[in-house]
Amino acid sequence: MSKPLLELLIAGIKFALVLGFVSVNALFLIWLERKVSARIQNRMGPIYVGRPQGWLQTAADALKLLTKEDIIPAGADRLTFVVAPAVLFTSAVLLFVVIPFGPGLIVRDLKLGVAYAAAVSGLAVISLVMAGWGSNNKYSLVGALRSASQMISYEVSLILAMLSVVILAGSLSTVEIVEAQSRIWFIALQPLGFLIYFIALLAELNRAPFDLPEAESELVAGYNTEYSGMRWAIFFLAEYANLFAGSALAVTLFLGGWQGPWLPPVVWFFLKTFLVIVVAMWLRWTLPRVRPDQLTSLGWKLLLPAALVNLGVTGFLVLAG
Amino acid sequence: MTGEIVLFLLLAVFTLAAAAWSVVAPKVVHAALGLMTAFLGVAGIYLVLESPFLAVVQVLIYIGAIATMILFAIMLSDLPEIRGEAIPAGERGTRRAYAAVPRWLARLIPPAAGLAFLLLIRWEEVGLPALSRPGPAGAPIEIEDLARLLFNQYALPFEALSVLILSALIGALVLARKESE
Amino acid sequence: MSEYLEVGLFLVASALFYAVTMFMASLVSPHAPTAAKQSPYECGEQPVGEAQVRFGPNYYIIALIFVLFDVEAIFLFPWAAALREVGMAGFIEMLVFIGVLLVGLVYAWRKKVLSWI
Repeated sequence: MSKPLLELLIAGIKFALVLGFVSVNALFLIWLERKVSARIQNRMGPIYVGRPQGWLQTAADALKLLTKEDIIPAGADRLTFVVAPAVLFTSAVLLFVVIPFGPGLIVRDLKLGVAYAAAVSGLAVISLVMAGWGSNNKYSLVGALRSASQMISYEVSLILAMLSVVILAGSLSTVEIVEAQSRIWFIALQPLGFLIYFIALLAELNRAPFDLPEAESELVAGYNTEYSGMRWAIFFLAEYANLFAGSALAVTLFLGGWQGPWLPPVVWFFLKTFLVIVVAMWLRWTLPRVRPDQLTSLGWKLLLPAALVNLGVTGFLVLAG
Repeated sequence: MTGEIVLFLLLAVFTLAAAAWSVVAPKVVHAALGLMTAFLGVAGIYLVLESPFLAVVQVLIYIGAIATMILFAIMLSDLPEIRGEAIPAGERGTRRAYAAVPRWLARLIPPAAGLAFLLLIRWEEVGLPALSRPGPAGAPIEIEDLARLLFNQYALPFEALSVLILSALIGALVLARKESE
Repeated sequence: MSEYLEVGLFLVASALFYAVTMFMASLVSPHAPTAAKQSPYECGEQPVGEAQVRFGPNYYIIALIFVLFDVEAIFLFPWAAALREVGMAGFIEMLVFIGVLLVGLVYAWRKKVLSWI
């Protein structure tokens, strides 16, 4: 077999691995979220399918969704309606290219890793606007526009928080950033940076307290109100893939990535990532939803100036010290 | 033919097809999506040209930001053809766009574009300073090369850029707010 | 360029995955559209008016400010990655650059564009 063909084959195997991981991860995270929310509300959560903890519930749900009718509403713009889930899913899968699961365990250590991650995660907005506009539904459109304006309000702060880490590591490569944290995790040097990143991440992921786009009590389900069956499942798959990827990037940038004593690196990586995810879920079931005016004010008047100051101080200290 | 050329041709056809769709699409939202697809093809071409950072910028700025803004602008306007109803076939696309431009300006566009193109390919012969490719030829352009050029050699244009962005911001706010009142 | 082989492949393959999944789902799922089922969901009421309505300009203004700050962020990438190389001179240049842009942010702030109306 010729060399380029072999490389393509290896890349294909990597894709299959990522795809498998993304699917299992979504099933697990949805189960976890149900369990966490149940515990917080003093309930049991799923227990029947896959006794005793109901761990097969989400797999059963996925199978059920596969056999559900795919309804496209009358008056919908078919092209945008059909393509929207693919865009969100693709942008989520593309993020996994630069996530270092362990030393050498990365799809590709891009030199521009962090910049690539910022660019790819920005594509999600388009999918939501497509879904909201294409559905011919008022709830969908309001949800999509809220979501898009929210994501773009926080994206700049997210990028600036990432860049304060880039200054410390002197590189955009995710692997080099993890390696630069062998002595001290960047969260110790960048507590404010981590806080900004985490808040902006929750907003980018449309998770509570920033879940205005999907506010069930007012917008039914936001941009995916009209979606059903497998098309809806793909949206969900992508959302939980994004949750994992965003948390994994938080671990990579601030929490030392795969580094840690005694345990194997991959175990450390997953432990830290799931810790971040559980904290995000805990916040979701604890905090009330913010108002739209609070949302824009927080993003532009607090997070953005704070992120700029943090970046400037970091740069100055690196040069001076 | 090397793999590089094959890849370039594929991307070029992809980009042109998306651009053509953007021009003829009966719904304006589809035209915007076609534009995004064309931008994606251009990002791919930047990768073939060994300029990965430019490709990332293309995706981050042109697709993630500017095209999103265009989508917002379309959804804010109150014209039926923009909201989704198809434009009658006779009024579609370029003819309609040209009708909005004064005739003397429309006549000026093709020769101006040609002149600009000539200038670009004969840049150095006109006596303008040579545009050098940062870093060694053939190797990908590294981000450090860009930083060195941007902050040492082209520091003044870089600062001038901030004034340009500022004026764009203020101008846009003035125009957009006027419309809202 | 070959560095981005996986990126290109993932892009094409995940779009393909979506198409295949939807095709498989169409094989096992029922398809029986009715007018009521296909009508836009409005909590059981008959839909009133059009869905693709016009929106307030706030969204557009926020998108505008975002575009300009995103452009600023782009210049920060090479700056942050090579800060030790460009040194104090580069640092001050960036300070001036961001300072000018902050004037824009303050202007938007003072014009109350950043407060949701």
